[in-house]
Amino acid sequence: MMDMIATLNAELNNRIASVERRPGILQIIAPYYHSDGDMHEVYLVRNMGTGEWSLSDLGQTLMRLSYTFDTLSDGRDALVQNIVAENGLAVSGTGIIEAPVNSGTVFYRFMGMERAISQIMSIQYQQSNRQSSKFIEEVYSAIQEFLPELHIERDYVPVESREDLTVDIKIAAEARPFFVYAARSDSQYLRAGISCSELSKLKVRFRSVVIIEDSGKISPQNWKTVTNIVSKQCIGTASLHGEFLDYIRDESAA
Amino acid sequence: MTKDEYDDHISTRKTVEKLINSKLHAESVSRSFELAGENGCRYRLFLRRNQVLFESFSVGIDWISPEANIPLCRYNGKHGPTARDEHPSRFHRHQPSWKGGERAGKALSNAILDDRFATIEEALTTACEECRINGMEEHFPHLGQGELHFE
Repeated sequence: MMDMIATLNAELNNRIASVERRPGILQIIAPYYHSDGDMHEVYLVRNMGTGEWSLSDLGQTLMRLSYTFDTLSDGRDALVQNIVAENGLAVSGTGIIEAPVNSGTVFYRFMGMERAISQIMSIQYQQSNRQSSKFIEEVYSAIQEFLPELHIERDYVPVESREDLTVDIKIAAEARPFFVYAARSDSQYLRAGISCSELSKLKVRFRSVVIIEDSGKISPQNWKTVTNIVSKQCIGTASLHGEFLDYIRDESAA
Repeated sequence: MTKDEYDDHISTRKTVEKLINSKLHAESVSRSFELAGENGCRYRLFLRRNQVLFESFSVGIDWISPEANIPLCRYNGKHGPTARDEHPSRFHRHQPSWKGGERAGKALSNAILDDRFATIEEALTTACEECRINGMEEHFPHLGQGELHFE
């Protein structure tokens, strides 16, 4: 086990130390930190039965994510699973991120673990913005109220394996459905554009509408990019009951 | 958020209103509560404890603002040694940093050693005293004896 610590130390410029937290559980002290200054928690854990070692977070990463979220949506859960898998690790049913290691694999497994922890913790910044939800709710209510004949669906996932491409509102239509995105910020606006672009590449057939709450929040670069991707853009909440509904009404009849 | 607003959030009396469904993580003890503040604001208190390393725990309080949850403070157990000399590795409290009277960032980046607690039970008691939270006994009848009985 000390040869693994020595390997890490050699690879990371002598910045690695270790401390025994329990018999068979060695905490790796390394210069990787959370945003509040706490250190990432990574351990070498010995299987008492087989004597083999694994790299483990002992569940500390998801515990820390739970400071922000009491439950994970299916989309965020899938994102965690993807991150873990992409970094060559596995997550147990009890939320422990781990991978078997030996002195030949410990460095890249360790770096994969550190990368996974950083990526998973960035999910906390996706904390749902209640104002955004209200805006989407407003759009949803307007469609329900003024176009009750249309079938609409919130948080629609057009491609099962790509929950990152979730559409705020899908409006069913005979030829192609409308995918509606409500953007309160520049990042939400760009996300809408990227989603539409990705969905097109995946051969999904749809018409896209982005409703921008305040065009002053949109950067000129993103405006130029997204305008060339989406079918229709409506600006301001006032457009909800005018331009937006008119477009949906006319196009769905066409 | 200014320092004065922060102090108001901490010092307002709060009452535990309900248990929040909390199921993110099976490997830690996990409870969350919604609190009602006398100032009309709502708050969230969470308790987390690692099941393998019992000394690794956190009791945190967020303000449920109209836009998002804003972390106010956390009472943390031991993480083990850290690679930064200035960061506490023992029991500590996290609170915001302040820059010119305004909160500097969302993270609770100011970590201070705290000798008032060594267990999650004591951390919860400390949090309830400091943040003036009533009604926790209903959910943890043995808290006064230093026992939470999660299961």
